[in-house]
Amino acid sequence: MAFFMAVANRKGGVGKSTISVMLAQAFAVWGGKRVLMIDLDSQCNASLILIGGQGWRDARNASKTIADFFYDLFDGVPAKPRDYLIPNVGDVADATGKPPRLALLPGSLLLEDIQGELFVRQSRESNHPDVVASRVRGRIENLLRRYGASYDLVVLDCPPGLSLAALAALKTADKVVVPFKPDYVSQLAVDRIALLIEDKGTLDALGEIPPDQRRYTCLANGVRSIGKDRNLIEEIGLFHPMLDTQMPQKDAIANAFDWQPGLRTIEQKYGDGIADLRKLYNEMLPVVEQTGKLRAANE
Amino acid sequence: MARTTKQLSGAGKDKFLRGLIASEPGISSEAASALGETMCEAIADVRVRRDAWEERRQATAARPATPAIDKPVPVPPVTTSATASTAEAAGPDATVFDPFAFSALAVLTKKGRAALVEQFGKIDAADHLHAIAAAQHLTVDAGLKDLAQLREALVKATEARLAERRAAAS
Repeated sequence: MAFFMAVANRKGGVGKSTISVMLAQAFAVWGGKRVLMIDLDSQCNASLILIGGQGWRDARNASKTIADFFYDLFDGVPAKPRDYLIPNVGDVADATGKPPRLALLPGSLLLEDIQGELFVRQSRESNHPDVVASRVRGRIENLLRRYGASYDLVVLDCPPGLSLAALAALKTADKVVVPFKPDYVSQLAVDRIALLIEDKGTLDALGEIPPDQRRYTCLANGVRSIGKDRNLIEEIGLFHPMLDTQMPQKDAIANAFDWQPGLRTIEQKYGDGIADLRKLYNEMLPVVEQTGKLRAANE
Repeated sequence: MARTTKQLSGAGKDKFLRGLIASEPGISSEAASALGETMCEAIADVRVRRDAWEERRQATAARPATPAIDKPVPVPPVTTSATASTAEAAGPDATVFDPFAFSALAVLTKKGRAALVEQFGKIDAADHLHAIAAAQHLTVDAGLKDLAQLREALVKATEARLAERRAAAS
């Protein structure tokens, strides 16, 4: 069963898609893992990073998107989840020069519309909106889990805001990575998503859960070496578990958003940001592997 | 789209590099001066992040007196506990006050009110206390000059910020 890692924050512009792709590529290339990226954001940035604009258009034309997957399988149509995936995506090679085992369930501009439609479909079975929403979310959660058997790691790139798909992703995740930019607005956004993930109502109630037992961890992104950023990271860390790794503000990392045809090494892609990515990977690797070992022991 | 970097050369580059090195905690003023000199000689021009440049510019502007830009700036190290004592160590003309040297919110949350009172008590310039207020989103009366009142207002503002955060996350 795969380790499900969601990358989420209700605030936009904090680098969710970039971090998602970086982690997916690091685990596929350095870890040799079978990785699946599920693009739950209707902005589809992770898809664009991994297959480029034309590749994403081709995926839409072939009805290989997350919206198609949800729409087709929601009512139990006997389609195969793998038919919606694009294998060997991305523009980096593994150590042998071949594409790593990184697959993509492409995002869709229609994802929000489809969720509305699923809600309407489900509402035929209940008059209570909360019940309907819960059932739709549960169905989406089950659909996401269907990919677990074939991969070591499933990365869920979540949208900003709280759609039913985003909520399902948060429920599904073994671990939620919460990237944030060190600013005052992010502080509140991190507080709120943490409460949601742990199902707590206040920061004091959240504090009753030891940091190392929480299902989420925070990642400072776009960090500048200035006192203001240091302070804000410390202040967010007063209430939340924080990765030691901090992703600095570097052009090489920002430019990694650009997809290019053909393969290059991961070092070439991330340039002087490669040491930062390696540090992030090294910190997340034990988290992923420990869960895998625990599961294996239980099975 | 706003430009996020700035090209510096000549005196502007030297001033930035020296100020940046001097503001780094843990580097003695002698070492900072020597390192600054070496870097200024070795580096012809630099492209810096605009926000870092802006922060250095503001820090320099906040000093009571501005040294010549083409000479090393004798700035003592600034650390969390030593922020307020920089003036004592090197005199007011040599101090670059860092309003981010410690987080008032973090001190209050981790160590309590008394520790925060003590921390603010180490700072003997009203301008510096106001700089902390502005930098750390602590609302105090801009006209306050009395140090004791200003410190107390800062502590209360920090407590208010913490309460605000808890309220917002509920």
